[in-house]
Amino acid sequence: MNAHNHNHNDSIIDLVQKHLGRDLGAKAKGELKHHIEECPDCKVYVDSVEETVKLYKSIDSATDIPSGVSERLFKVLHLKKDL
Amino acid sequence: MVNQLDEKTLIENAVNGDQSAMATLVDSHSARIYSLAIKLLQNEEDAEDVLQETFIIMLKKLNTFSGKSSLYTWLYRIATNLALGKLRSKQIVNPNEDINNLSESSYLGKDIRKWVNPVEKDQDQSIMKSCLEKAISKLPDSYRSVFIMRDVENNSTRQTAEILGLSEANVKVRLMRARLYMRDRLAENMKCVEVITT
Repeated sequence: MNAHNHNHNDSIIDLVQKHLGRDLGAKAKGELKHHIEECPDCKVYVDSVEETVKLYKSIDSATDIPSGVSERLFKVLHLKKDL
Repeated sequence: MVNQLDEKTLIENAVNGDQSAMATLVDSHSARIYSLAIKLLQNEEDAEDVLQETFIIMLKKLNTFSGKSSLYTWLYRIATNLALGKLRSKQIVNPNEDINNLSESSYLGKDIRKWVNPVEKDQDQSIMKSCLEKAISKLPDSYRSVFIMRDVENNSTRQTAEILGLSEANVKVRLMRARLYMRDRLAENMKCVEVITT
């Protein structure tokens, strides 16, 4: 494995963080895009973090509430589910 | 799920003691609240406690609900606060100190691994799901709550900071570390990495 050994200044690191946090304006987006086009490591880094979040969201379907849990909830609340 | 107009009427009726309206409101929101609690607490028993406490509070305090936000947002905040209180009361020692050392700048100086989207590679979805669930369960609570609030529930940095009682800067740092941790665990577990050489 080779180290990713070119120096990133603080502004690029800040841009990457803002981009991943979806807090980036159009001008800064252009700046980051330009950097990423010339820096394969940053591209892999940004893409893979984005992909991780995307994958997690894709498997994160709302958990169905187990019937027993629902029954106990209505019982605790003294409500009838099928009123 | 009931629409907002219907929900307003249901809330008015529930406040006036209509049990059918109360039941409909509970039925409409309980799955999402349970799902949120499971994600935050990683424990079914604790999640059920939070679910019940959330709706007990709803029925007691529905007359104080201002209607400025949606009912779900109101319930969401109640459930989140209850879940965080539960986590705090357990005083779990951070099981993963390594995550505190992760930073973006140190990361950009390390080996960078490129990994292929496992879905495109037709890898089993259930294996991927298991890897992700394992990774998120190993995240310390203080990081997992930020990741869930921000990336899964799509709250803004400011909303997340307000709900969790953190500064916005702290939310950003925790989110970044949580994502890096998740990314690395996923790459390790999926064995779908190829090293990019520079």
